[in-house]
Amino acid sequence: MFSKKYKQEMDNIKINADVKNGVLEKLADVKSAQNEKKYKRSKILWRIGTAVTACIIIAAAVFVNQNGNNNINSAPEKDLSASGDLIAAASYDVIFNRIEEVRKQQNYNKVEDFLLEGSIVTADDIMLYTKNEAFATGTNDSDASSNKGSSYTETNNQVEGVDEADIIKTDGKYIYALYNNKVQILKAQDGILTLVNTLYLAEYFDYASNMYLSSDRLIITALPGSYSKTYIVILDITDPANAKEISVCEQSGYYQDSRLIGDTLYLITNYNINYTHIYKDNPKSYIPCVGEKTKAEPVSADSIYMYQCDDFEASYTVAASYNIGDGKLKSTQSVLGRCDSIYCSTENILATRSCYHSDENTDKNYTVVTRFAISGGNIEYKATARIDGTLLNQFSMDEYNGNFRFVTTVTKYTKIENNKTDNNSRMVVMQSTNTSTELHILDGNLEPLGLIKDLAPDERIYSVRFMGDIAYFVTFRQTDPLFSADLSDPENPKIIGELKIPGFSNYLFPFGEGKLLGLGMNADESTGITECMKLSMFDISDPANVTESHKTSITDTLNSNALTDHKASLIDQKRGLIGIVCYTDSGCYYRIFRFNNGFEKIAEFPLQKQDCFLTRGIIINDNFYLIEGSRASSFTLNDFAPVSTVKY
Amino acid sequence: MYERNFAQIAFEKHSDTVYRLAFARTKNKADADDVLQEVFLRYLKTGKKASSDEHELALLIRITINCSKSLHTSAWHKNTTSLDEGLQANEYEHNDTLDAVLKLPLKYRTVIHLHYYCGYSVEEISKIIKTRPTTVKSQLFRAREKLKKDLEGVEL
Repeated sequence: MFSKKYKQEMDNIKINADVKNGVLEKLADVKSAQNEKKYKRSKILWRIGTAVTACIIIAAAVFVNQNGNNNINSAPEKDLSASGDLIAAASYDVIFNRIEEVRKQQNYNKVEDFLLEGSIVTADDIMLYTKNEAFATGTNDSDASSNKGSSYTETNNQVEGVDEADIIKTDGKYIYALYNNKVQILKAQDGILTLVNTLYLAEYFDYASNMYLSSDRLIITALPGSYSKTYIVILDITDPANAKEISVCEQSGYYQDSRLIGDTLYLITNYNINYTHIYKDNPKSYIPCVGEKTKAEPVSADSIYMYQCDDFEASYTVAASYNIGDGKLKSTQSVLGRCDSIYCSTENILATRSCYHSDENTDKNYTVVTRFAISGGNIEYKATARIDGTLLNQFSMDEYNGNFRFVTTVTKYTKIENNKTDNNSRMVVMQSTNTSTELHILDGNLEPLGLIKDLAPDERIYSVRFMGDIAYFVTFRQTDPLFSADLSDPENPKIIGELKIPGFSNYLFPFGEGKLLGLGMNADESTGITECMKLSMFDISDPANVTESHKTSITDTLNSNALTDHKASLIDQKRGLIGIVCYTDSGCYYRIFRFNNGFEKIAEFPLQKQDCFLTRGIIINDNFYLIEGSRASSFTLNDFAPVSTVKY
Repeated sequence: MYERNFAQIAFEKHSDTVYRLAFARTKNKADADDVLQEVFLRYLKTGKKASSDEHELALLIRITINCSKSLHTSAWHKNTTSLDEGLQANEYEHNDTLDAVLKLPLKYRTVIHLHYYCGYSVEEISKIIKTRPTTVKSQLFRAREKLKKDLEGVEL
């Protein structure tokens, strides 16, 4: 049919993205629009502009990718203390020289360890350490996500009082939804949704990633196209329909993680240096810069602590704190060496880095932990330590009563003698691998206190939850032991329970009195092959005798962001509701389960497959709101009758 | 800050519609790009949003038609139409239906586009381009006759 064909063919005529952006930009400036020259001339200039920009972006990407891992062959630096703690740089020159060393390392033939005296914690060393300095610290309430008493859903934070960034935020009156470089601000009044404002960020940032909401402030973290710095946009939203910009701050590096505690925003970025483009007399070329946008200054040398790791590279972990009231930088500390994971309590930030140790006999993984104290918004480097194994995620770490607890997966590769060489005449090494789980307790100064080793051999960690004196963690290879560890005596941690069930949990959430909710997967008992998603409720009223009191298999669901993102799911302990995105063969659904002595599916909403993992469900008073990429819908909470929908 | 003015919001909504009408009229992407920009700049210069969403789209279509009259396309293009058709070989996927429409005279392909792509009725088209309905009807009729000849066997 003609009309169908014509429509189809016309639909293929699309506007070039550069053209689109160009027009949008021109439309932004009303005054200049009135002075618009003959469009033919401006068209030519603008076309040249885009060609040049494209070249620069490609060139930048090439430079960034040239950075690689390098192994250092020389003896330990003299400027590191014996205890393994780091020392601040005396001057920019010291840092420059350190980075220069990376450039000198060109070959991978020999890998030598950088053992620093007393910095590797082994079982024998534990016996010698009996320090237990009391250390005043904030509480670490493991029920942070319990929604005690709040009538609207908050982010599933790990630690109470420490807010984590998310793509959906609400204060019970307005819902802020970040999607595709736009923030939609919706008013939610008794279930009726109205769109009161949209913030367009695409012209300013390549990727707006996360938000925080705090009384009258909206904070957005974002990246520009070149990815060399991260921006924090602080807006005044006393009147959400008229958001006012308070300030934009910039910090060198790519967003790693952040937290909001009270009025202070903590931002941690990883900053890679292209060591072929650094100049000794230009600190801005190799020192991280922090501050207000366009006025960012290199941080002071004494705020940079120098790091050693077997696979050293020219990169920094940059930590900075900002006051969200006036939008100004408060303090900053950096470490020369990037980080992989962040844990934050009300008193401390732990930045961790996985490293790899290699010597004649064994290769193994270990983690370097750096502690920064944060009080009153000031970041202060305190200590560094190493522990065997690698951490799964932020939930593998915890601070309690002044001590730090970690659960790691330790992988050891034992070399077997072999005389083969590859094409480059390098020794080909045969390895046998074994894995096990360890639980470490370090004191406030990151000195070892207690250790449990060789747990669950041949398995690896899938989830961890610390709850005060007890730690629960799940390992898996074919069956899933859920371990309970008693940590009430930090120097003598003990495993007190082990529950073996098929499948595993990826996340564990406290779910009220004596209950622990597990989101994970079912697996075949004999082969260990995963089958479908599963919700488990564990009875932990007696931690030494944990049972799986109830469970439900979501048989059609093979995947869900509930398994990889602890903020993705609705966990409402007070109302006994769990909301998750289910990815099935027939499509994506948002499903709500109620737990009341058993799991029952009480609602299901079909979602568009595209970006279904960016869907969130939140509850405000007596209504349930489903926020998708391009629309928000509200329902009554008791029977999920639809109330209103807003498209944007 | 970070908010969009009425012209930018209209652009987000209607850029594709305006672009495709501009393309149907100018027959090449370069001119369609220029018309696209000019249309929304002119809309911006009116100073305020149209009285309703329907009025806004109708207004944008009228502006598009005004901006894409042959006087407004580049003189170079006007003077070298035959050469252009060869150069445009790679601009879009050539297919019979689209080519046949683009071969029609300007006024015919405009009403064809408004009717078959935008979905407007004769009444609506006559209001938008300010022509009598009978004129629109006969333009559509003649356009269809021509198309039938070019696209043998295709139902209209």
